[in-house]
Amino acid sequence: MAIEFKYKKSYPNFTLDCQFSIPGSGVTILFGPSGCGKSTLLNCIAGLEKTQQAYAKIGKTILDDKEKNIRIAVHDRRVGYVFQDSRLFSHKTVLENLLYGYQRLKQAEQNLDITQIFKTFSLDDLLGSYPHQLSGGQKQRVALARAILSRPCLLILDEPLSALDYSAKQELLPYIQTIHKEFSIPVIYVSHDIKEVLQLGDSIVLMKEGKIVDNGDLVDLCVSQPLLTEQEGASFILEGEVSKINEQEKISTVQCKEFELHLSGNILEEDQYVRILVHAKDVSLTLDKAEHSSILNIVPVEVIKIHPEKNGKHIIECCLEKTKIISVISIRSLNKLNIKPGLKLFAQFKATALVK
Amino acid sequence: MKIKKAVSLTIIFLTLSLPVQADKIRIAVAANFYSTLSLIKNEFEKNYDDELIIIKGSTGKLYAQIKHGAPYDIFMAADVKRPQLLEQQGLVEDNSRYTYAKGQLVLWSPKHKDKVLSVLKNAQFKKLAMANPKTAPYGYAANEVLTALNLKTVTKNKTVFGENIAQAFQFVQSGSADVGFVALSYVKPVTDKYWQVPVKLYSPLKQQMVILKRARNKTLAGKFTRFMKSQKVINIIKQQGYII
Amino acid sequence: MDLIQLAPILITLKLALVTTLVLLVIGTPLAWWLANTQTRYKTPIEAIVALPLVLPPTVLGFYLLIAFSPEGVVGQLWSYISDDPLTFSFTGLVIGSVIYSLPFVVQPLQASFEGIGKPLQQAAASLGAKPLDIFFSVVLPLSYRGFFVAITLGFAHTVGEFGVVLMIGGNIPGLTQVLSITIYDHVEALEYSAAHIYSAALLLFSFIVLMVAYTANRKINIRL
Repeated sequence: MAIEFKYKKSYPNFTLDCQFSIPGSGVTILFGPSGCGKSTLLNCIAGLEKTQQAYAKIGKTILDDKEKNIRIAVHDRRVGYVFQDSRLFSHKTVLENLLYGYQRLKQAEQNLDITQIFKTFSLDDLLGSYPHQLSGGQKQRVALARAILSRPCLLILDEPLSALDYSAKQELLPYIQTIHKEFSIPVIYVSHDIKEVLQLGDSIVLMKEGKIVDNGDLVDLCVSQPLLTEQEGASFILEGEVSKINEQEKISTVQCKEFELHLSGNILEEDQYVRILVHAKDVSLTLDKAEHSSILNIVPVEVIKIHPEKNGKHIIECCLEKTKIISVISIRSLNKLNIKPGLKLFAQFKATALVK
Repeated sequence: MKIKKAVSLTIIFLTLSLPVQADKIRIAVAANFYSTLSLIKNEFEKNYDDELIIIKGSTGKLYAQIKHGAPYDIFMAADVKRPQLLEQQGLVEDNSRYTYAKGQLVLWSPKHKDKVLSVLKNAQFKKLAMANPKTAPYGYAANEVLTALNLKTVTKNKTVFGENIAQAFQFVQSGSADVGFVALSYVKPVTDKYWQVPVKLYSPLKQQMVILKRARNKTLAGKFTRFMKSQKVINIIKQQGYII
Repeated sequence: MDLIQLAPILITLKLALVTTLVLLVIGTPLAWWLANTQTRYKTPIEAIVALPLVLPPTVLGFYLLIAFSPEGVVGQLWSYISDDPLTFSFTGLVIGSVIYSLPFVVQPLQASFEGIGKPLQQAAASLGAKPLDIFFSVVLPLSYRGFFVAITLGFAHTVGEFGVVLMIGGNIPGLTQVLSITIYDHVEALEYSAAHIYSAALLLFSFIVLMVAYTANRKINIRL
């Protein structure tokens, strides 16, 4: 399913001019610095703002087409919205909040397994409570489930975690990942927290000053986009499922697409889906495979491209089949190993930052 | 130092703004006589240098104010009762109470004009306006007339009451009520088509005035009272629709 | 002596009740519209709604007298509905009272609706609720306090109405003779004891109404 948007609107100090498409599944991150227009764009997609030019299409449904004078009202758009401030109805119980959107669906669509959804979001114990009795994290969980129960075609999450403290955030992240896995609803996720982005995103739309700067697969953009790498430094993401756990040695083996990763120290479960953030500066390159090394992960790769960096360093972009691996090395090492595109070598790294 | 100066300036200012006592009096007059009194005042001030300050209101309200110390010199009521009460309460100069005019009641309908009486008798009207019999002498008189003419039953459910004769007049003039018992002094300037109620059908609408004991300028008050009894004034009063 | 009659009290209560109900019916959509509209006519309309706050009631009564008379705009329209004039009728009093107490109902409601603001309404809309649905399911329950104030003020204000009724009521016993006019008449007729009794009763009643309203308000506050 294709999802396309085009919005243009002029404000006194700022112009929104976006045209982009996103995948019909998975989590698309909308990323950019504060004030770049993310919330405005979301409001346009949700139908909360009128624009000078508008075009929105989700699958076969056209939500906006200014030229043809089409503009579907907010309540008919089936675009779910989870706000930063949860916006639960304080005069209704959690249960009543959850069912608010569901009750307003047509009879034929009211066939979800509601109790299962309550379980999925761990809401069973909270159903009779009122919003003011909940913690921030609990409120957002309710908001999330409430939005999903309204069976949207597209779900917008506008910095849903930014008002929460660290532990609440960590607690909530898995629930957000559930959306895409269990409900197959495409998600647009807005954040300016790079960690959230890397943990959740499948594809990414980068915005700056009201315009779309880049758009594509998250893993790819991690390598090429300075906006993303500004905070963490050049990094890349690997993903896979836990295939084996060695309790004694505390090592988990993760089966990625093309190779196995060994992670030490983290507590994982078998078959758990994991994402691993690897900083390019933690990756070293060797021409020969080191058999006797303390480093757990050694992967054969081929050099694709060399990006010059400041401070006399270079980013070497390599790949193994479809997986991208990047490394930062000094000019000296570059020349020493005579690194050129097409060269086959080995990348070594400790899997450090584990991102579940 | 500054405070002292401010205080003394204020005192001087207040003193200067106190009314000059010499040649003014305050006359509290019932609303229905106000326009006539204005004409009399013009005449008075043509002949003398003194000033008459007129305060108008409903007889009842003015009475209540006087009882509670209102600084009037003369009270011209629309009835006898209130001046009498003031006299009994010792608030009035001896022998100053007298009847300055007698009101006349008319039945009026701008719509039905000359036929107004038959319209009333045959109940061919929607609403009959009159002053409140409980609080206004003209209303009490109108009530007497209806009783005398045996029309109480036929008018019972169609009567509306104005707070005073002025409001009764207003109801009729605006057309809200199609007929009404009003004062001749109101209707006369407007038209000559009405039914003048025979005086024998109602108690005389005596309007009395008094000089109040607390009057500051009793000389001028006396002067004005004498002026009220002069032929010139009597003519004005008669011309306005009253009897003396 | 037949000192105290029940009729003026009953008429006054009836008038206040009917007026308050009418004001809720027309005031709620008006307050809702004012809270949400962005049109440039919003301010002048708010000023018009607020007029009865500052106008002497006699001014209002005066204009109503003219409007209701057979030659007046409203009077003429009314003559198609009924033979009897609008002045001196209970209906006329209701119309006058509705205008007189309008800001006392509309303003608290508008403030309440504005206090709820757009965020919750947007959330409800995103969940599939149409505008009217949003009003009844979200806005209304959350603005109970505004409604309390509106009903209390509207009712109490109408109970105390004098100037407008004085101008267009005609003081008809059993129909338009309200309590405030009765007290006034008693004072005019020097019947002070009757005036005292009625006035004290009115004062006590107003106090009790306000006490009940404020207590109930607080109770609901705690429950939520």
